This record gives sequence, C-alpha cells and structure tokens, in this order.
Amino acid sequence: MNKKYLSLIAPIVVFIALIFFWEISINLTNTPHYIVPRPSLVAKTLFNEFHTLFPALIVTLYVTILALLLAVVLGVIVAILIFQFKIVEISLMPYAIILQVTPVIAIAPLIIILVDNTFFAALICAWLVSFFPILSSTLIGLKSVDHNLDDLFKLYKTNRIQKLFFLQLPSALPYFLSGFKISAGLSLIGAIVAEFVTGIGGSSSGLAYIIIESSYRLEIPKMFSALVLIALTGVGIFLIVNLISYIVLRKWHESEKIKEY
Amino acid sequence: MISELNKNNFNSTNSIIAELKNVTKIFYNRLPVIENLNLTIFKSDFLTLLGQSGCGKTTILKILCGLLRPTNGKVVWPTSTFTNSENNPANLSLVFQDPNLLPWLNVFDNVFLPLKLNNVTFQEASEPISHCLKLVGLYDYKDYFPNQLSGGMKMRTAIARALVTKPKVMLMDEPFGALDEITRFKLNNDLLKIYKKYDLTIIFVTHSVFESAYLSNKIAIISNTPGCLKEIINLSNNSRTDEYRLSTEYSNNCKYISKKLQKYSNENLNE
Repeated sequence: MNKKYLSLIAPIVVFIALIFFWEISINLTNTPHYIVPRPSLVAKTLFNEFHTLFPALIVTLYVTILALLLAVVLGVIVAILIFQFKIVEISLMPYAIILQVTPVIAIAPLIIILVDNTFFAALICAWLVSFFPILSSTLIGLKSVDHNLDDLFKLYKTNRIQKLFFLQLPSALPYFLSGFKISAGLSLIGAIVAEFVTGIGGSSSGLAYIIIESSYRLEIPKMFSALVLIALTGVGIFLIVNLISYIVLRKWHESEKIKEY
Repeated sequence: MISELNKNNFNSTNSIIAELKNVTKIFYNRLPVIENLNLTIFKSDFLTLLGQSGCGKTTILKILCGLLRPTNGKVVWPTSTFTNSENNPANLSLVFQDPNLLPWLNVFDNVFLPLKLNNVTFQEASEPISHCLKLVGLYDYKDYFPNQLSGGMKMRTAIARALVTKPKVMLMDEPFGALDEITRFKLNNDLLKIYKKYDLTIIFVTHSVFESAYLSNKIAIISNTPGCLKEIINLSNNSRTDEYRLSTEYSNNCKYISKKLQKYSNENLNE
C-alpha cells in the first residue's frame, strides 16, 4: 500500500479501536459516568454544552495566540538586539536564563498578585513560556551563519542592516521556525496553567476553568469534553505551525524538502 | 623547451594590478603559513598559484582581497586598477572553493545579490543578469534553487554571480576542485572564453598541474610550510582548446611543471 495512505489510515484505525475498546469496557464494568464517562456521552456533552464550551475555547485560544504572537515579535527583536550588541547579551542573558528555568507554575501566583487584570496575567504566563524557545533558537540561528557566506558579504562591503536582512535573518529562519514549533505548543500550556492558577471565572473563563469547575461539580463528561477541545486546539496549532514551516522552507531547506526517488 | 617557455617571459609590459610585498601571515602565533611572499600581478594575467594542499594558496588569495590581514608586509592595489566603478567599487570578484550560494534564493536572485546590495534596481539589473546567465549556460535554470542544481551548475551560478558586477580582477580558489573531469574541462574552456572576452585578470588557485598548465599564462609555484614563492613559470599564449590538451606542447609543459613542483617539495623535505 502507498505509504501516504497508510500514514493516514493507520492512526484512524487505532482511534476507532481505542474508542470502541473504551465504550465496551465501560459497558462491561458498569463504571459510573462520574468516574469515567463513555465516549458517546462525552461527544453528546460536547454537543449539548457547546454554548458554554465554545466561548471558553475562544478565551483560551485568544490568550494562546496573542501570547505566541508577542513571543514571536519580542523573541526575534530581542534576539537581533542581543546579536547586534554584545553588551545587551552580557547584561541580559543571566536574567533571561533565570526566568526561563523557573517553572511558570511557580511564578504564576506572583504574576496574578502583581497584575490586576486576570486576562493580562494569563497572557504574561503564556508569553513567558513561549518567549524563550524563540529567543534562543533565533539567536543560535543568527550566530551560525555560514562563515563562507559571511566572507562573501564582507567582500561586498555590506553594512550591518544589509547583512542582517539579506544574510543573517534568512539563515536564522529554519532555527526560528524550530523554536516557533516548540513555542506554539508551550503557549497553549502556559495559557492553561495561568487559567488554572487564576481560575478566571465569569464572562472570561477559559477551558481550564471549565475543567476545574466541572471537577468540583462532578460533571466529569463536561470535563472530558473540555479536555477534548484542549487536545484538538493543540493539534490544530501543531498542524498550522507545521504548515507555515513547510510553506516557508519547502523550496530550499533540507528539513522540508520533498525527496524524489 | 625550457628556453622556449622563457621566451615569453617579458611579453607583458602591462600595468601592475596588484602587488604583495614581503607578506607574512602567522595564525595564532604558530608557524608562519606564508613567509616573505613577493608577488606582482599584471593586467591580463591568468596567474595560477600552484602548490600542495595546505601551502597557503587560499591564504594568499584571502590576503589579496582583504579578507585576511597580513601579519607583516602589505598588499598594494594601485589606484589605476580600479577606474571604472559603476556598480562594484572594488571591481574585484572572488569565486570560492564551494559555490557559496544563498540556499534561499533561486539562481536568478543569487546572481542579482551583489547588484541588489549595491542598490541596483531590478529593472537595471535584469539585463546584465540574463546576459551572465546565458554566458554560463544557465538561463533556462534561473528559477531553480541551489539544492536542485548539480555541483557544476552551482559553480556556474557562482561564476555568473562573480561576473555580474563586471569585475576587472577575478580571484578563484580551486573553483573546479569538486567537479568531474568532463565538467571541469568544459568549465575550463568557458572560463578562458570569458577571460578573453572581458579582458579579465584572473588569479587562480589549484593543486592540479594539468589544470594550471591548461588555463594560465603564468604559474607561481608555492612551496609548503611556510608558503613562499619559488618560481614563476611563463607559458605561451597559444589558444587553448580541447586539441591543445592532446598536444605535445601541453604534455611537455605539464611534465616541466610537475618536475619543478617535485623539486621544490623535495627541497623542503631535505631541510
């Protein structure tokens, strides 16, 4: 069979088998739905509770995407500054590393105390975790310009700006994109963590808040459907980010090149 | 044979293009890579630097074009070398050992790069770029990306990129080292055509006796560690075609150059 079809069909078969096994085993063991709901009930809840789940999804997505965009813009700008001015690197890098290695879940309560607005608090948490992968991978990319190409540009007597835009930034692009892939996943994690800690209620509650709320109320099917939505969001982000990487790099970079045999 | 070769010794009363004066280069306070090297390059020279691997040929080239600074001595480029400087203030092009193309640009944009960096607009540039691409036989491949090209085609692109600025002097660092024989022969002929057509001065680095004897009219033999100039061999300006490769003159030249090269490398071993 064609490898392409196989890679599409095999996961689907596994998915159907898992759902089937899940449904059957709950039927056989008579597990109550407030412990583990059956998949059909989760699907039903997803449909019935969509009017509360969908706004929550939008809130979480909004925080995630905004944080990711901020991480991209600031990560690239800071990487360029650090790369261009040695003094920025020397003076900022130690603190950047401290911020990076401290788990966001440990900082989150502090951020929530310091920042009044819970939305901004969540945004900062999500941004914190997604910022560093982009910063460090872009920086490595900028630093690992082929030294022969560097010589070429020296011969052309280019100025710093030209070198940055025509040589260093394009060279860093594959590195940036690998950081971007990591950050995209992390920004969702950051957003969920922040929601857990803040427990944003009311009109601006995200999917994580629904999980907490439904766990208190023992609405386990609703909890599962929120979980499904979070997983789907993660998968969606993953696919979009990979598509972006493919579109940008497919023509020239080994990592996205389609090989012909 | 030798006297015949030497007859052409003083046929160039041409102007000086560049001079290396007592150049010494030492890396990291170690043994000198080149020592007290004196070399004068005249207009329209096709000068080959010939020597073993690691004798400092590439270092000499890099010092010439300013990528490396000599530890001692100096490089002189007389002002007369660079007069017509429309788009390229240096009028100097370097072709590296590797093609060194930017992988994210297609063939056309790679050739456009040196002009773009000198603020030449696309409209102004497209004609000379097409011309250079036709010259190296890559016009039909202008939309291809480097990873879609063969080694020879990449090198052709690099040569087109070097030519597009209308240089007067071309420095070439073993450009055809990684190519197969047939492609190399073809590119050798193309290079000679371009050299004649544009009245270039070429400084060419190679370790191949055959290539040096075919291409150049002057061969500078560089000895090993530290690199110093041992001798300049002048060759006749006979037309170089594929027939020339089969001629006795060519084989005699190769023999003569090989002997010299061997002599100097043995000399070094005995020291």
